Amino acid sequence: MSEQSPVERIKRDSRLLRGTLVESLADPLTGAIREDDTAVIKFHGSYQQDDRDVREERRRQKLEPAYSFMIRTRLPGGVCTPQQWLALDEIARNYGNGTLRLTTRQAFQVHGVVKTELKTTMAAINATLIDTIAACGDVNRNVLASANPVESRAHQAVYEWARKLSEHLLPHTRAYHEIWLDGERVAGTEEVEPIYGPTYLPRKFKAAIAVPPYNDVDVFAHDLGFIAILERGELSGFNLTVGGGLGTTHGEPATYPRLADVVGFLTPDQLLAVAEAVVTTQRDFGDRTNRKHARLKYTIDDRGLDWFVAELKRRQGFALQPARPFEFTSTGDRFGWIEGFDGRWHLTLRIESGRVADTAAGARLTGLREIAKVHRGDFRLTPNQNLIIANVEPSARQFIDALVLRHGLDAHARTTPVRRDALACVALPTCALAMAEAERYLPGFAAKVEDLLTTHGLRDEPLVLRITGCPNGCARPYLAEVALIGKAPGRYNLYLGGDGRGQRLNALYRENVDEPTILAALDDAFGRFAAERTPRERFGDFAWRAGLIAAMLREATPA
Amino acid sequence: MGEEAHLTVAVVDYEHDGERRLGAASTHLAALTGDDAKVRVFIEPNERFRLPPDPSRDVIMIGPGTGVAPYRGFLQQREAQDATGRNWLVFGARHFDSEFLYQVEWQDAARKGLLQRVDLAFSRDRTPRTYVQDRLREAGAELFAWLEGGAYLYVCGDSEHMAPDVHAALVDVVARHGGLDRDAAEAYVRRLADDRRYLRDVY
Repeated sequence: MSEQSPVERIKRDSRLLRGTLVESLADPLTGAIREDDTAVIKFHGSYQQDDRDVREERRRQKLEPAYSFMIRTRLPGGVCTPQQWLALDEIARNYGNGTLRLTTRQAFQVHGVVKTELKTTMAAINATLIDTIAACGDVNRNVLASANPVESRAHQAVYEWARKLSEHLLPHTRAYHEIWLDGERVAGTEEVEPIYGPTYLPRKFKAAIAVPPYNDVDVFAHDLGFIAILERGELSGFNLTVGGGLGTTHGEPATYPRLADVVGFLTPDQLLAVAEAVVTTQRDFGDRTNRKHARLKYTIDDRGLDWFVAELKRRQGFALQPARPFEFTSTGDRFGWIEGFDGRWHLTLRIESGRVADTAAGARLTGLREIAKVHRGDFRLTPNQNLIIANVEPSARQFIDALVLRHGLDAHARTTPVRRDALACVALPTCALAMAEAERYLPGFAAKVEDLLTTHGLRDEPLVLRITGCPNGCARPYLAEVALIGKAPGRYNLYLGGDGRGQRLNALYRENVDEPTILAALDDAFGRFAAERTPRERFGDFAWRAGLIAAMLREATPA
Repeated sequence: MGEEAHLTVAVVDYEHDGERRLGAASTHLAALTGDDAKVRVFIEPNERFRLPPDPSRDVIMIGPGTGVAPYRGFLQQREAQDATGRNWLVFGARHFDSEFLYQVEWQDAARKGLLQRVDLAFSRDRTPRTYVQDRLREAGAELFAWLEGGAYLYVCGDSEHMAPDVHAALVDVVARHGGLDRDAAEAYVRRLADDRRYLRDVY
């Protein structure tokens, strides 16, 4: 038997996620925490990062790297109140870098919090009744739910299930309350993790609930997914999906993105039991020796889907019904105003890369603060890094529209589909995993793609473009019609061929190429697409049909 | 440091009566760049500001800002001597992020067990502003215990504000933790100086 990965030891020795965080926080000599604690703190919803732009300069100054912490909230379904928005806005300005980031997992990220203010910041977030428990780490992370859940009663029910699922799979350790909130240690009672056990899961674990026809959550990218089945507008149950996951490692063919399998139907009252069976199966059988082979997708591929379903049945004590038909039409958001079933309105705004900031392009942080001050409904963060101002009385629409215009928040009405639907992860300068730019590169690159599309008369075509700085998949690049996955500064792998519905992986088209090569390749591909497409055909579908991707595969395989 | 000589220089640059004032020497030194830049220096020794002859004695090194410079050499010497006495650094500056001079060296020293205690005061990172003298008062009980145990205390840096403030804090600590009245505490500190266990290099 192979040796367990080092993170397994850290988890086992952490005393249910305490580690030596208290000691690390108290050390005044460094803005960092101890190395083992950098793994532990993820379970508390934070990553230690450093500003990679200034690393070398600081090294010459005999200063340690400019360490700071990213804090990620747990926000099931991405729903928050205006009061919570205002609190997070203030936290970002007081303790963070003055920006809020809306993530592809419908959560907030605050970046740039220094160690000495970490505890104060965590306490301030919790004071708004939002926590950060299990927002990162080898546990079930923030549970996604199709945005705009108030569009129908079924959407509301789905949101409630996302919330319950998130609560049900929360770690039970008191470590979080002890360390960040000065919670008392409860003496005498033995602390247990009923679902996870003392070493939690072998790897991160992601769950989502989709409401067809919208696959905004990218349900097939998740370890655990539920597709809501609506009959006559009411929620009758869910199709279960298992084993999705996108992260790969460059140069390691044993790692691959995988779409989830649909394995059956369950009624709503069975959801928590089924989820627990999936999680505990992965807990017991997932690979703890190799973190690059530890996600549920590998457990299922190694042992077979039939074995997995049988194991679920054994743990659940019941069998799933046959999966029911469903259809997805898109993964994007529906921008602009939409009327809900109860006569209230929802406005979806485009937030590029999810970054809410005051910049030359617009005072968006200020604008959303002004909206939050007067908004009586709620906010919904979408899995596409965008924002819905939800539950607006018809009479309040005009006022909100005026604030949107005044603060440059109307990008959704001004941009082309390709820019409106694009995603990018954070990448440089703060993400330790990044090999190339993503968020900072997106605006310039998307503009160039837009120019190419315009040249070929395709300006108004929907096209899902996603950029990540590394192959770990935060912006779900393997499902995009055009994706750049960072290899090195200025160099990317170019992928083509997602279907725009999140049900087909794309494929490598050009490896380790620079911008001119990428643009030339896209210019050719768009040219062929414009000339040869069938009516309403999407670019990703065309790329397969025309053999663009298959052609690449032949090139890559020596005869 | 090996083949290198290091200078610790704060650039004098401030406004007075609406006019910008630049320090002649510090500005000149800061403007020197490139490998071929040359500067002529001479050393003005301070023969009194030296480590204890007995390496088993503890030392307390107080040096905010550029005042921290001599303690790099102190620690090198203590390490070379295999000194058994403990070393305590008290450093201050305006910002942790940008002005923690020689940060990685102090971290290495702490990791190696060469620095037993470090107290830091970064005055502009938080309110109310805290300075090295505030840290000395906070650590008063331990500071007094070290002094009672024969520790040597060094102060290096600004002579105008820092050194008198540190001196006043020292008298406070001795009075409070030694249970002495003002006069007796001042006499205690004077005796430290007479015994060459309270040494200053201030400018």
